[in-house]
Amino acid sequence: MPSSVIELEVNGAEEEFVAKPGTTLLSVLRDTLGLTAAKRGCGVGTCGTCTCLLDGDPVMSCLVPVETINGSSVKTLEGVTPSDGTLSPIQQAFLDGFATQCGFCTPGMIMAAEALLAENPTPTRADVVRAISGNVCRCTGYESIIRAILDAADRINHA
Amino acid sequence: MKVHVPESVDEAVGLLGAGTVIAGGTHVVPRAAPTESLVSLRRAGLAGITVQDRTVRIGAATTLAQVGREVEFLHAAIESIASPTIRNLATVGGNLFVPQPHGDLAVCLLALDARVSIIDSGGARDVGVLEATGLVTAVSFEIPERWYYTKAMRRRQNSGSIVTVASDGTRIALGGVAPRPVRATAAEAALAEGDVAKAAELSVEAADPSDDAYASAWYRRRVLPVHVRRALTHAI
Repeated sequence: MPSSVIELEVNGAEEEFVAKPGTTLLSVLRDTLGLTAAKRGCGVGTCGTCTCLLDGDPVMSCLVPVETINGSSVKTLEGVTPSDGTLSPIQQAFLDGFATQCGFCTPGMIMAAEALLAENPTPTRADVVRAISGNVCRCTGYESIIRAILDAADRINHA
Repeated sequence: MKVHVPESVDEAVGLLGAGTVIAGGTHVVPRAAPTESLVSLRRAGLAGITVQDRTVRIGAATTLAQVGREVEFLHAAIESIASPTIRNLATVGGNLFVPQPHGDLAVCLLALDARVSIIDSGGARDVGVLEATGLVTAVSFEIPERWYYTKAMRRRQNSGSIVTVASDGTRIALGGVAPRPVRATAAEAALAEGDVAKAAELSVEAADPSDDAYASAWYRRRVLPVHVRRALTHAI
């Protein structure tokens, strides 16, 4: 089968590109569109650092053959970051709360947190743990990440 | 390699044999060989849940996340499967085919005596959970009067099963303790006599556990009666 022409809305912009059969959404983001925030950690849906929003839902982008989502809307960490050089509330809370060490899990953690706070602006600690249960961090021990997401919810609610 | 994305059930049926059928792809995509073709059901119109009286019918390509939101008594079971990021992709049809110790929803469907609607070379028909083959289009079952579910895991979230127990108070299905979900028929007979302790004890007769990274076969066999007893004494 020849390559397919795929159209996606990525971070609000229409993108059209050619993809070889079986190319994953993650590969398209990183290798075709140059959006390298989503990381390739395990490549088998176990680590969560490739987490993106697909039509609003957080998914592991390494598991999605891009032909199957033609026409969908995708949001990555690049789409969360304000264009004026500031940080989003979740990013700022991660920075202030030392919730990033090596940083490899951070894009996935923030996208999982974005999805959580969009659906539930006042999450409990248990809600946060559930939301990031597919995201592996080998540095922080998770506590600082959980605190940062709860802190971000507070900041957004009191902004 | 090809990735077929049929836009209807008829088109999907025509593509049976053209590649491995996937929906969410969470199990197959990471394991697919570079030369392996896939048939994705994502656009085949097989997603959706309908409830009529007490009968629930769930399209094969419905995500586990949607089932967790819309079918209340299965909420705990769905929450015990993987993570939200996987449940937003993984589907009901796919869950029937993942090997144990995954596939906890299939264990529930076995306990519910669910009918699986399939289409293959023999045409369209309904079969049991363990007989599913060809193209699965939907599963259907009655909402039970009582429901029991427990899953023993290494962590509270996102872990394969050590032991999964699902029951409607009559049928008992087990996961994690055999290559596929199994009915514990000897235990069911004891349960019918109201003897939960004996049912727990006899549940090991249905077990054929394996060693894996989550637990040893010895451990699974050892703790199975404990979890069966706990499950059957705490209705959800």
